[in-house]
Amino acid sequence: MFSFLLRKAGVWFARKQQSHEGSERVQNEEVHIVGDLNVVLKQLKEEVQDSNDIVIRRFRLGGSQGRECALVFVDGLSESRTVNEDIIRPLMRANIKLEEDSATEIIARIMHQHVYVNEIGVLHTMSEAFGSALFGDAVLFIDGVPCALSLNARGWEMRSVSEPASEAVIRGPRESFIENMRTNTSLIRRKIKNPALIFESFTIGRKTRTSVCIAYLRNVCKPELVKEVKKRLRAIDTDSILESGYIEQYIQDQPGSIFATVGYTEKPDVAAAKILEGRVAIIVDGTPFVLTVPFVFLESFQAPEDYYLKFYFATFVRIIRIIGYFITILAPAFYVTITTFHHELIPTSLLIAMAKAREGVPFPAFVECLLMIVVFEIIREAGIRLPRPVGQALSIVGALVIGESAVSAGLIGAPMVIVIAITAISGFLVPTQNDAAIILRLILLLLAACFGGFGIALGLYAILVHMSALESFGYPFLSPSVPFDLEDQKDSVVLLPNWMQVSRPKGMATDQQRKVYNVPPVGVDKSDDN
Amino acid sequence: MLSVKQLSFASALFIVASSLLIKSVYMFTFQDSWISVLAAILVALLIIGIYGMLGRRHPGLCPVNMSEAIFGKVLGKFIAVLYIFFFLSLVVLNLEDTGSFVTSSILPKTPEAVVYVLMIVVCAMTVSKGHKMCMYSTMMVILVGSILVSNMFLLANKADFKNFLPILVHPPKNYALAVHGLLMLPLCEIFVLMMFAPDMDKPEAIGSALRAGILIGGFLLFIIVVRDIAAMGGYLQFTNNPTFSAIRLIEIGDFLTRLEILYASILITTFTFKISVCFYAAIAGMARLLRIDNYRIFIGVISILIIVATRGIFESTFEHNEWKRSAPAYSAVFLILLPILMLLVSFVRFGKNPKKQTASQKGSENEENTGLKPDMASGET
Repeated sequence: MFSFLLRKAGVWFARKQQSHEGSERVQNEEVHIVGDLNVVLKQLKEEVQDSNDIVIRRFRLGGSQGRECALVFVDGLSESRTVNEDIIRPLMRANIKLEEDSATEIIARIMHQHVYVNEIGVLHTMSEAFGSALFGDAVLFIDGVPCALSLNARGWEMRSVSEPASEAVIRGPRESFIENMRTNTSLIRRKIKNPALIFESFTIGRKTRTSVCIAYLRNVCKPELVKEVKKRLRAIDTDSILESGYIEQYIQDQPGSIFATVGYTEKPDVAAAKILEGRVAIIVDGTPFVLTVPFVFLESFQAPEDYYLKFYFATFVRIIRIIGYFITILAPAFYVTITTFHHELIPTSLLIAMAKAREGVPFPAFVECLLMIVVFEIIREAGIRLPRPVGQALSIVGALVIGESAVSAGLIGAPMVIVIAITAISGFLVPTQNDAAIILRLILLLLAACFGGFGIALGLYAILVHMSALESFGYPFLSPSVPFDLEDQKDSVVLLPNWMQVSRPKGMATDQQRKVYNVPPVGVDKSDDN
Repeated sequence: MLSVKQLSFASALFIVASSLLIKSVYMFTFQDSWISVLAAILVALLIIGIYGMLGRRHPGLCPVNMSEAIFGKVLGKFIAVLYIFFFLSLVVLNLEDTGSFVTSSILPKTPEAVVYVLMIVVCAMTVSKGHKMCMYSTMMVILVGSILVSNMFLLANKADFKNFLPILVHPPKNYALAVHGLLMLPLCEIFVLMMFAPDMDKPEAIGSALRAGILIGGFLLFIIVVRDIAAMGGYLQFTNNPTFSAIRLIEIGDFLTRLEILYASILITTFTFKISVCFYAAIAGMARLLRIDNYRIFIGVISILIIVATRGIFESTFEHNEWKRSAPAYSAVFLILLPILMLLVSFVRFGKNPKKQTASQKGSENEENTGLKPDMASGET
């Protein structure tokens, strides 16, 4: 029902938007580049007004008698060394007569002989020219030629590849994606050196014109999946894409659900592993977070390190993560229900101790719990935004004032502090699910306060029903548990060693089922030792 | 599309739900109940054979459409309405069962109506997912099954095999009554899952799916009954809820106790599943009978009707217990008599090999006009 309301609201907003749309559309009409340089430059000036980062450099091809031309580029996006040395200098020195040649010949000559850049394109409309210049290319307009050349001179300031901030590892590659899309694609390409790895790009966002690029392995990824991803990306019609989160909201299967059905990662090795499984990665310019689809719930419990470590340990850690997830959504609800409804579930001695601790507490357990959850969320949120030097003050306030003083003042019981602390800490075992977990925790807490254990059981059941009906790009969200598949359990709660991962998850990839070609691995067979 | 595996695990889960509240079998055969269970499973397999044959002869048709196809327009519609009523009554009865369990063992001070409302809300949500509700049944059966089996081992120290003695001492009528009760209450009720026939990827295999369901569910039922007898012995007759009481006995090293919470949560979730399936069967049947594509429009109204009906169905526990004695007879009409009748009429009218109808009959238009008219004519001549 909630999703129904959400859909209705979406339709309403879309209708509201349509009435604004008309004027925008007219402006985007195609204007062809004309042969007269002065006219072109006038059009350019009209469009960019006095924007001071757009440089228009006028000069003559091949010295003073040559044709007049203008080089347009954005200061800061184009590298001045390339522009000076490889474009302007050879063009000025071009020691050939260009006056008598036709437009196509001029273009051909320049392309073949006179500029030293690796990527050249011919542009026919003004919007293309703008797009190209704003991407960092230098655009060359020549008098008498009804088209323009885009010359790759891209080069801008960017962060260097550094360690990921959100997915730290002890063992495994330390590099992370950065804000520049090209660097990100190169990071993936360095992991998968295979011509079948395809990058296809799109430009999304009417105003921001963000480049978005999808990456997949041609023979492994299902063509329907690629088609679906492209379809959903093309359907996005909005002003701005500033982060991959924007894309995520547009392409989700069920936008009303609290669970994200699109995965994200900051690490090239994770993205590469997912592409190798048959998934599609979506790289958005301007953000280090790369999206991967389809996304299943279990991926939140997988860490890249699992595959680099011994599988016994990896399995153990995964089970711990799952337990942690259940603790983080259930602990407050469970505590409230056993203190409010089901005292008989607590061993007597513990019950007495708990009753003693709660003796002077003025609120019912539910209110107490809600209060503590809110306080913790406040501390957490503050901790993220806090300037680093103040951080310590916060932890002192959190630990001493809330932990110690509130208990001794009798505002809250000591067991509650323990419960909330373990809830909070467990939440960080599964960081990608933390946002959904907070909501689930509150829902279950409310159910527990109203209906006790019955409410929790029904709540969990409802969550299960909801999740098992979810799909991510046609792939069941709870796979391989729902629908249950015994073979795919090799990489679920249990993780079998890498050499036993002989097939990709079912239904994810095309016919290329085998990932491992020699089983058992080299070294297991003792017979050919000598 | 539902696979055969998913449907069989769904039917197993369906059986497990009622198995947890089973009591009537102990009233008739006490310590010999495990024999009744085995016999009931065998008989159930025979009856499932009838369902399977119906499924093979009319693949992709749910009982509602099937009765229309077999009995013709007027009588068929009447029987279809009876089936819808039966499914609705199952919803109401099971909801009542769960409600009384919850109010008696978990939330003694809560009015039953609150329990009904909460459960129906969750069921309505499940029903709105359509046949996808069977998807998670495999995982649930594995979870529930492992809990039940582990419970059996945890009760090993309380088990006494003398409790099974003496064997075969009750009058034969008691065994017959017990088998009948078991057949009707947990086992053959999976007939309701025939309503998922149009959603299956291999509709003609529905018989084998149900058979596998009986075997899995029957195994779990057998484990439950054996454990109860072994642990409880003579006390079986005095408790209102033998399984609940048996699990209460678990006590390992002063630490692993109070496992009845596990039992309670299993019971609540499996019953919610069962009620959702019956609920879906009822409203999907209505939609198919009335040729409406979207069965979801019924959810709201029927939910409210169900709550009202459940509130008023039994005035007292005594009345409830009285009903439990006659419930098997009531179910037998729909689970044994009518299917046999359907099969017979189908044989008489369509001969050995009824023209295969397409599986895509999902409650939509005129199967009478397309595939059946020629058959009817040939059947009558």
